[in-house]
Amino acid sequence: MEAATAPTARPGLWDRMVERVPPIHRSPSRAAQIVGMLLLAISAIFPLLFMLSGALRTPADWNHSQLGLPTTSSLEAFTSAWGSANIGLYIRNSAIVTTGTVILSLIVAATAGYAFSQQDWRGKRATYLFVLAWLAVPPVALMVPVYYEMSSLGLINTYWSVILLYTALNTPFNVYLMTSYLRGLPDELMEAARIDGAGIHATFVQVILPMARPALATLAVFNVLYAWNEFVFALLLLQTESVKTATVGVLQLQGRFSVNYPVLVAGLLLTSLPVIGVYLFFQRYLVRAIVAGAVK
Amino acid sequence: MGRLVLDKVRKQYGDGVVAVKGLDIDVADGEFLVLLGPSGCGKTTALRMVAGLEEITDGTIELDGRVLNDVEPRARDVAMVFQNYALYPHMSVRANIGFPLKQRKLGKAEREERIGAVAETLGLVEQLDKKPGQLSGGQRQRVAMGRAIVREPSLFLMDEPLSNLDAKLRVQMRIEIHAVQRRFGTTTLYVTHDQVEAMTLGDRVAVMREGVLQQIATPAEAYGAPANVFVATFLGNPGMNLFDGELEVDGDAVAVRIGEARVPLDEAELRSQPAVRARGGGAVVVGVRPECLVVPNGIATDRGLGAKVELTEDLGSNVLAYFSIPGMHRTPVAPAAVDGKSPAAAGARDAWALGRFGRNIHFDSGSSVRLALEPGAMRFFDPDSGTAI
Repeated sequence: MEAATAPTARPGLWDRMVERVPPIHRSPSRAAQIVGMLLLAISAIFPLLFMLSGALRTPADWNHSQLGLPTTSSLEAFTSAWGSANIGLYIRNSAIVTTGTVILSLIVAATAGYAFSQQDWRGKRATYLFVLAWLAVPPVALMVPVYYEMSSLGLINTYWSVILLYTALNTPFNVYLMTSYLRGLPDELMEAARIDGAGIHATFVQVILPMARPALATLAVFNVLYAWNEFVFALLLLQTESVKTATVGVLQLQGRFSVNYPVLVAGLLLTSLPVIGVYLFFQRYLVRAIVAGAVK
Repeated sequence: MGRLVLDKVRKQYGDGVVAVKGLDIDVADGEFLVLLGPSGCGKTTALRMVAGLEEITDGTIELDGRVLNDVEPRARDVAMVFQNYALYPHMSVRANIGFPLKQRKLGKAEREERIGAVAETLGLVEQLDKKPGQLSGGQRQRVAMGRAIVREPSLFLMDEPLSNLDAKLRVQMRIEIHAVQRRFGTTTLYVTHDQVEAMTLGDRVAVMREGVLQQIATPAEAYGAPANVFVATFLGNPGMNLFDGELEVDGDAVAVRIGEARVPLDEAELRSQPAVRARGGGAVVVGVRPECLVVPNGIATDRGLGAKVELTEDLGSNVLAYFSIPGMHRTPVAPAAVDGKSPAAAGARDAWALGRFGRNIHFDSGSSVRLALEPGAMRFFDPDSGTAI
């Protein structure tokens, strides 16, 4: 008779997954942390999924259910949003405004940060505090004077109105972040550049700017998000169709008496995609900026 | 060419702190001068004033007869090596070394030629396209040296350039710095708190304390004939033993009483310190280097001290032994007072003398021995001012 050998049971999926987790992470508190982070991730991704599933529905399907998976899969809402509401034009306008704002903001932040962190000049501290004080001013309080100023400058309905305003509104934070970052650079580098023969401008361009890349990337992301998503001042200052930005323009999809929700969310999704793309592209720089200096 | 003259140079900060008090130093062309002293003695401030990174409150700094006081750092014709190398992290080794040349608008061909020559000298050819982050500590140090050398300046300034390296690499880089300086013959001002670096590298050593120059001399002079008790205890590891003594002059014979012992001065001591005899007697501080206390091995000597072994420390290469000497009181100026981390801290206890002996000597704790003084071992200091007699 053959000796019966007990078949070795193949470990189940759960066991195999657990095996891959290092023992140090197999505690209940770790599990709670993971569950917490999963919930956070779901809450972050849910609005996007909601927009995507809504945009793929027909109006009838939307009326039937908003939350479940779409029973139809139609791109009609996208074509309709793109065609009827000039979404392409609005996205182009937003791109111009955002690009202009980011370029101008980075130039102001980098030069001001250099002046505040690396140069000695009379009144530096007072000027820095004055710039920072603007952090405490709510932008909405500026609506009337800004409108008055822009119209007297003849800038209403031009890209420059919002580019200049956004840059001004973000400058206190931008300058603060840049100054702090540059203060953290070793003084010896600037001193070495001075001894090696570099003047103020050469030091800025050849030494400071390349080393400030993580901070510049961080600021770029913040300013892109702000300029792309800003609504109130864009509504106030950009009133003609040809200069409207995406956040304002997409409102056209909301009729006075009825709303075609799939078309509206399709428009919202289309206007969100560029900024999501920018964020994903710059994300690695953001992480780098956050951990910069953590290791030698 | 590169003669550096500091004339009554003084540095006072805005908060009233005076970091450098009337510094007079004359560094000859091609000389390697080491500024040595404990933390906060003003040596780095002095160096930074020469570099132009600190304003000079008073006095003048001249390089080859040209007053540098108001000259921009970049126009001073000096190159500096920093403690943490200060390499530009985003540039390759090639760009780092070539940076000063680029600022001088040298053509690309000439830049490449000079970078290549320097890289060859410092063994950096393989590293030219790497970033500083990819280099070891020693290689970074070489790049920093390269960036200084490539300009062919009149003066090298080095601010503790070896202090970030481990002990073994430090020795190696010390030798390389010495070789490079000899090869280029460039006047060098080198700041360190490490006396081994000072003794091995410097043509002369300038010892500073609290902003004041204590002594400027060759390493051998400063070690053998310190100008005051500070230099005596700061130089040497462990520093010089300092005993309270009583000078006795009797005609031609001069002796000093240390505790219960009476030690006659020998010819070398009297010749090198003629003011001792002229003093005619009285209290003095007697300094003796630890290695000048020897075991006479049965040979009779009148220059001896009875001592009791209190403690021994075997360092491998040699043995440190702490002795109490009957009737002797140690002066308050103990090495421990100069440098709290001194291994001779135990020697700060009353009446303990410290000796350094070869590894083949063994002492039993508590035993009595007789120690002899080597010829010329004793240095004499004024007990009030602490200056050499």
